[in-house]
Amino acid sequence: MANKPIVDFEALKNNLSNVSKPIQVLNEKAEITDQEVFDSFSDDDLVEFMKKMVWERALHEQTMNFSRQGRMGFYAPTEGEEASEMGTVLAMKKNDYLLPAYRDVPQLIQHGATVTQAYLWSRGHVAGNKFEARSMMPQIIIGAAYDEAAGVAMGLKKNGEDAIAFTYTGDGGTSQGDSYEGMNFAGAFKVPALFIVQNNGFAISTPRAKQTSAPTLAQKAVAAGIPSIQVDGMDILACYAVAKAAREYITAGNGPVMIETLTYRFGAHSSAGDDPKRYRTKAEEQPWFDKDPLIRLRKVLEDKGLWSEEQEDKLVDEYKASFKEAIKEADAVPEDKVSDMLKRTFEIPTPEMKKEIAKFEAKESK
Amino acid sequence: MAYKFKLPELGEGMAEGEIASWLVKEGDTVKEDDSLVEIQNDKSVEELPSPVAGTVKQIVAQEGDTVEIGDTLIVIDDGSPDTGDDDQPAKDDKEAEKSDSDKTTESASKEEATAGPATGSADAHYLAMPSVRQYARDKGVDLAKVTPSGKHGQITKADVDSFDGSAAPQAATQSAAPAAPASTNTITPYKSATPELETREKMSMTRKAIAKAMLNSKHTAPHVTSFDDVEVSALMANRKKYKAIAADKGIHLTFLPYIVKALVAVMKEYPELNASIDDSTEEIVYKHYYNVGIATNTEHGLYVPNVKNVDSKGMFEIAKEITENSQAAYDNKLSMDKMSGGSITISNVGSIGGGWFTPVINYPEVAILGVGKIAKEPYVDEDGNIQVGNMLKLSLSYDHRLIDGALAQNALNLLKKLLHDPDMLLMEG
Repeated sequence: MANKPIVDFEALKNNLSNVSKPIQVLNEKAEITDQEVFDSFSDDDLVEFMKKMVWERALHEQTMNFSRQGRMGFYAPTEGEEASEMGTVLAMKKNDYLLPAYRDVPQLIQHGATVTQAYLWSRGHVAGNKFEARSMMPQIIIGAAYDEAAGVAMGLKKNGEDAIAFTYTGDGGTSQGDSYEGMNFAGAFKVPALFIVQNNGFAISTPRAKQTSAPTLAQKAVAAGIPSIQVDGMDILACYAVAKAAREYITAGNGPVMIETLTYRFGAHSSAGDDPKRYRTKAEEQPWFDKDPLIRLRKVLEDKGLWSEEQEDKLVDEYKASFKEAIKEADAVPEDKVSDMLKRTFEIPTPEMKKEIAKFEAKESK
Repeated sequence: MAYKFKLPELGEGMAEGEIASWLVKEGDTVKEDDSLVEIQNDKSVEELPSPVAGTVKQIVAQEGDTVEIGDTLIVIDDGSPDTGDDDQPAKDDKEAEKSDSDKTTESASKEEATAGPATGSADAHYLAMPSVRQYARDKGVDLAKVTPSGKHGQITKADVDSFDGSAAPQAATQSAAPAAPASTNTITPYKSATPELETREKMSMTRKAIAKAMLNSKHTAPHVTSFDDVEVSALMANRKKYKAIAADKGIHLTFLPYIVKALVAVMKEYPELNASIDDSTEEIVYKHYYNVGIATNTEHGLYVPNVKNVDSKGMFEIAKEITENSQAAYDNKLSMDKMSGGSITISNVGSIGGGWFTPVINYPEVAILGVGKIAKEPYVDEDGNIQVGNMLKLSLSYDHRLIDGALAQNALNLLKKLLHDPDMLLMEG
């Protein structure tokens, strides 16, 4: 018998890297790499995409200022992830159910919450959890929204709704058991769920390469029997087109889909004070800054004569003025009280809680 | 009439920050979201934007000041109607609460900031940890003139150390005076709920020096202490035999000279115990002399005079010198020479009934032997019989940077051998 090993594990491992190229419509030089998809968008569509990204960038900048002025609670910066976030959420319908994580506040607002509610949520105010949108409040537990999405999608299926549950996590979230459990459940029950991984390169300070040996994060869906694909997360046209196609596939009764968007967090993980300079270099950052999703679409629009700097500046001013109004509205909402928080915990308070409620009410009435 | 901008919480667990630089000055007109100030906390430098538009009325916290969350940084006249601002009295209360020493600090640091362009010019932009900034201020070094060597252009403590002061002599002299009170800034005061049940007294110079030396030793040398005991009946018999002879010569013979002699033999076998580490050059300095210190407790503090060149001295001579040194310590007549250049130190608590303990190394020495009492305890002798043994308790603390655990134990084993059999001491000592 020949000395051939029964299994060539090395070859199996190498095979894992045989993945298709990330989907792209516009490259970073603003060259069209998929004419057919590009042509499916009208000029108005393109301008609308640009406006949404400018809005999200302005929201980030103003919110960051509010944070530095001590007017916010927790805030997770979104600069750099505009294409990934706006592209995917714009492909959804209003009756779809959003399960956001903490960096997905722009999508939540896009889906129907107000900026004021988002600011109240950041401050931990209960009024920030009440919105018209079909959505949960942003999930703080990493990866947990994937489990929620599986459950909500199960409900949508049982109710026979023509809607999907869509959810987000980051590259770090895919290292959590929750994300696999959610996908596995969704795959097993063929529920209408769209799982989006915004791979922004870092789980706070841990680079993507140190989190997993998997060549792509999209592959993590394979074990759950879910089709998945990588998308250029700095290309809003690609993000939108893929999310839209995924939604169509899901609503046709085919079960869940997973999308990995390749994006980058331009700033810190959160306003809680991490300094990106400590875990990445300028040389690593610059190529990603050059891929800024706003730059490439702006160039396309300017070439078409659909966009100008003045137009953008004016929009930014308008948007920022609206955010300043929103925070004033949030300031005007009476502060949450401990007694109210306790009263909300159980429908019928326990005897201990009754005592606590009485204690805090006495304090608060002083 | 004015908006008070207070330091917000810029990071989880952040309690304070340092004013790295002001980007506006009094009288400037600012728009909403204009950058006002750079704040350095332990994690990063943050630019804080103005929440209001108006004119800068007063810059309250100065560059270099450490400010707590909620402290007013700047007052901006934003033309808002006076709503009977309740901050004003609150601030005054806080001011009044501050102790006199705080006020000195405050005025001192203000003087420093206004002393001129030599210290902290308005456009100074540099990265340094608050601890390094503090260190630089204490040394009177202007960070703006220091060449950074750390990651991302951070100024490190070593950069401050290697800074050539001659380049900016004014900076050094100018801030020399305020530096002393400024250094008390970060020290947490001892607060008590029942001060009436406590009394306070100033630490004496000696007590301060002891505290400093102990802190330095513990901070610099990673201490490990090995405990052991040894049966010393033979040693006791020997001492008993010669005690009277010594007394005839006016010499008080204790166990200490024996231990000193034994230590010489141990140090000869294990020269690492008779060494120091030069941190500046990362070299081990081996000493070719044997000066054994004896920790001496007196009314006015702890002293460690050493007996010089014990390797060339006889037992009686060592005993005599120990007594003389100890008397000089009691009389406060020890010369510096007697207290420096030691090889190793003995700390004896056995004479007052102590057992094992963890002595602190007399830095820059690398080892200290703690000597406890001789206790009567069951002891299994060489022949396997249980005897009433006279067990001497030994505790050897050593600087683990230089001395490994096995080496220390081997050294202890030799010491035990010599103390168990004083005839060996005659051979080796």
